[in-house]
Amino acid sequence: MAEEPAELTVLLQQANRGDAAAGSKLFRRVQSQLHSMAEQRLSREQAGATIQATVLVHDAFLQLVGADQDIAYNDRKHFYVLAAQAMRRILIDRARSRRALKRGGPDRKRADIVVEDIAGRSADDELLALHEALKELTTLDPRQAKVVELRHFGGYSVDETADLLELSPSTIKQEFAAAKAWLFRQLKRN
Amino acid sequence: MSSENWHHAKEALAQAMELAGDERNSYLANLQQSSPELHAEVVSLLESQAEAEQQGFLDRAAETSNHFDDQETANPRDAEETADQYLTGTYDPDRTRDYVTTDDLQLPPKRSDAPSDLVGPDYELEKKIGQGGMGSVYKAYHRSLRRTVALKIITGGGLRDEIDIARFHIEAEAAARLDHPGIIPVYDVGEHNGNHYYAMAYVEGPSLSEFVGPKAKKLTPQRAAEVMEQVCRAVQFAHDRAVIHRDLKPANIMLENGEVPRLADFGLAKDMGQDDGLTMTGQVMGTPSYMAPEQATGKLDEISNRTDVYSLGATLYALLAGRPPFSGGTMLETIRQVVRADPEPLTQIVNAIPPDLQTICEKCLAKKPQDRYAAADEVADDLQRFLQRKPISARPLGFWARGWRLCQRHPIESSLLALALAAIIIGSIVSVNYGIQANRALAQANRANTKANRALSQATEHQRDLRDAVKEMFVFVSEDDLAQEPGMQPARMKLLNSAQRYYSELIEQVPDDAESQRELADAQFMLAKVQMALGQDEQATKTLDEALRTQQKLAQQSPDDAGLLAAMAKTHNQLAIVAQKQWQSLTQMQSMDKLGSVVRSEVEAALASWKQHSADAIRFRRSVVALTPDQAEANRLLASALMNEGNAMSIRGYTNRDLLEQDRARQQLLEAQQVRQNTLQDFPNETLVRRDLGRGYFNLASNEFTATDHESKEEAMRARWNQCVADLTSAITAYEQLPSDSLKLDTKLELARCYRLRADTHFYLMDVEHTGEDYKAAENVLRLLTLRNPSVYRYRIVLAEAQFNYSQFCFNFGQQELGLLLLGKSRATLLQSLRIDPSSTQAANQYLTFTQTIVAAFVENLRPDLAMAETVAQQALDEIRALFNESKEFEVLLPIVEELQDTVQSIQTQRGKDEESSTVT
Repeated sequence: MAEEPAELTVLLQQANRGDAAAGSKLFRRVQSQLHSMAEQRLSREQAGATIQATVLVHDAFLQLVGADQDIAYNDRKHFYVLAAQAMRRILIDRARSRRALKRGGPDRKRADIVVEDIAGRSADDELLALHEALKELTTLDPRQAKVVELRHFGGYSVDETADLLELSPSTIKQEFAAAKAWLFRQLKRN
Repeated sequence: MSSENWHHAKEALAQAMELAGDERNSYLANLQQSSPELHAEVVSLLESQAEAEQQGFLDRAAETSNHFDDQETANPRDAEETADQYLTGTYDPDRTRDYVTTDDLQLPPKRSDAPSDLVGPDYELEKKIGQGGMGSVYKAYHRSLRRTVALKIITGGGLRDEIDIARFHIEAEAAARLDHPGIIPVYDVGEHNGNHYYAMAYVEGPSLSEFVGPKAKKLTPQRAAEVMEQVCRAVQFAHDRAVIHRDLKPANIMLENGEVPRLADFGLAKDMGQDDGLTMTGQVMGTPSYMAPEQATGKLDEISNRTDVYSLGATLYALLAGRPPFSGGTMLETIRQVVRADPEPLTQIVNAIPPDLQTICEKCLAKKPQDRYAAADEVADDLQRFLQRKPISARPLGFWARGWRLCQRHPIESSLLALALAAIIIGSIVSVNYGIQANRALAQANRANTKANRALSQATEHQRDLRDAVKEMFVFVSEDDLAQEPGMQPARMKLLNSAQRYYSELIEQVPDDAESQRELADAQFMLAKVQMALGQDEQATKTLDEALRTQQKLAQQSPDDAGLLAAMAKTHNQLAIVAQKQWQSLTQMQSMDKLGSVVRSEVEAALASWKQHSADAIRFRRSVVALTPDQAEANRLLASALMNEGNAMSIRGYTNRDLLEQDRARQQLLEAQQVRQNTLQDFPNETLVRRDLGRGYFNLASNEFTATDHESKEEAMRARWNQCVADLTSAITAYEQLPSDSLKLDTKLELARCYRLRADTHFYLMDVEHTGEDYKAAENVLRLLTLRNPSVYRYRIVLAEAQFNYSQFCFNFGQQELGLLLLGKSRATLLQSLRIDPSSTQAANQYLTFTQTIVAAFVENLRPDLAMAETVAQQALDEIRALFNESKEFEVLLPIVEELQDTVQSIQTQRGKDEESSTVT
């Protein structure tokens, strides 16, 4: 797939210029790449191993775009922002289907008594709740929501996030702290 | 909160956070003065912030933590290409051969009976060659394929509704897969102008019914044996493919050119609606003359290949005797004979019948399936031995001389009993009232018997026999899972009400002697069960307390009576069940009850009663075992009581998020397993104990599976999931060690559940290979169940769940195409359940939930297909609206319907935007 990197670079440029169709095409490409990389990567690790999202995103970039591609700094940043979004989607998808699986859930058979299931709350539910709260925050304060997405789902550091959003590190810290307070309260209320 | 307000709050929060101690306090005090609302908001956020920090909220970046398998993440490009076919519409999950599609099932508004447009232009009808209860058979010419066919057209009300139609298609497709020279092939199944039809090969020749009848020229015994041997081989071929004929009779066996027998109507000819008994309305049931007792009494659960073996024997009998083994003046009378009477010995009807043929017939016609040949080819083998003059395998059992004589000596009671039994299956043909009248008559007869015959021990025994039969019937309607099927509900409730009257009356007039008191306690126990089935739990508790008092009085006189102790254990067990139900509904209410109006003491009282009765049940069953240590059943019941307490602990532990209690539950469940294993060492052939062993392992697994919900550490969760897999493997081994003919359908369902739960657990453990395998195994067992019993709602729901979970698994491991296929299957399965019970909101709810997920899969797929998403969602909404058109039940569905409507709307908006942007570029 020698053409791929070049094609992706073009997509990045188009997307960065505000081409919506190119943007969504790019997003799907990135998400698909991240998804299959996560699978391959983890298959070689021991059970229970974890992978940092940032490492994954960086490698995805190398795979999709290539290390030696001449690519504008802005386009590169656009890629990282997209990747965080894609990671969020991947995690949410997994949580959703695991929860759906739970809903189909376990059942018991007894000799004399048939037992009904009682629904429990799990980590997946919490992730999905966070996803919903974050959607609400987006309508209220899109920049802050972006910060959470990059920090939490993209796994980027404060400095990296600051660089990507062209803000100062202290602003990122402030925004992240405020977002945490707001999200935590929102989750508690729900 | 508006976005502007939020920005003020955010700024104030940032300032407050930069300050500490007194400085922060004075800043906040100032803020309170200038803007109390802003102050309140900032304080709330500060509190939230502190708590979030303390709990480490969002401290760690989200991580993926897993273990995948290389093999399953195969070549993503391959998968995408096939998925493309799917998405562009060249691949449609609803159109796979195994499943009936939405379109197939739709009923066009009008039906036509004019022969010319019965089946459309492709078939040219030549002549009518038969007429049955469901429609007509024509000799026809298939123009495009240029062949002559026998066309069976179900006209008018033959297929009553969508359920019948669904079943018709499922069974026709099963039959179409049978490719055997002894089976007439089904070429085509279809529908035209509301008439459903299927086309079979046209076979010239008389059917075997030509050789049955008072004036018919009979086949020689030799020839009859030859013909039936071939028929048996063909039937075996179908059985090997899990297809049961269910309506074998001379009329369904054609002798091609007077020579070769070929079977028609595999799985098709039986009147639809027949196998769910109580839901039948008005339509003719067909002749029960060739039906096995379990089929004639509607015991769906017991229908197996041996049901066909019976019919093969009945056909052989008819060929030899010139008439079927049973044939009463009315259908009810015939059913009574099938269930209770002995067929007249062949040797009394015809001279010179070889004794071996009589023995073969006898063995086929045994009332109990387990007494018959185990397989059709065993009948064929014996017929072959007979033809080769070798000794046959079946031994003459003196069958004609034994059994069923009791009833013949007591014609009045036994015909009443037969009526009552018949009421179960044909309740709504004769109207349910008939059944109730029969019960009332039975109760009256019983009363008379109680008084008049008490002195005569023989009569008392007979009466007890009768009462046992009544009990069997009521247990069937109150407990049998199949009687719980949705379509059976109205008739079942009526029968339960009459059962309640019967037992209430019985209780009122029991004399004071010990023997009668024992029966009183039995009747009280039965009454309580009926009351529970009717949802009258409070009354049931009272009745059970009364039963317990009766039993305690008796126990004072004979403290070491094992039978009495066992009965007391049963009563305690039942009381524990009621208390558990009460506790569970109270705790559920408590968790939703914000006002605290659920009284704590009530919850505690229910819990105490549950624990006490559970412990008492165990205590009494231990005493029974001590008195009769070498009785397998006593040990089995003790293990059940121990397991019930283990399950109870598991539920309580889960509800209270108490992992230690769930671990104690495990110990308790293991104790039950120990008892079972010890019992199996002494009695290795006790199938019920072995089945319970499987159940026990399943419960152990469930306990581990649910416990993971409250584990916080990944490692601990993994340990439990691994334990769960190990337990399920033991459960599956136990089920598989059961002799195959003792596997009732419900046991198979349990086995499927084991595979399903093990797949779910492998999924959590991210063990790709085994997850896929186990979902497939579960699907296979369940598909067999639904194939054999197309009308059982429960099997379909469980199948749909397994298919759904499997699809979720596929989506997670990049098998998008297979995932979509499975989702489609799951949806089709659910749709079929909906048609079996159109009023079930449970099925509708599940259907909509699954649809929601399917739509989400299309929207959020790597390559979204919004048009497809919209179509699927809209179709489901239309479907549900049509089914629930303005009925009250629709309200229950409103939330999920609205959710789906919102989804459709947002898809439409998104599609509008997409179109805009594509026209811009």
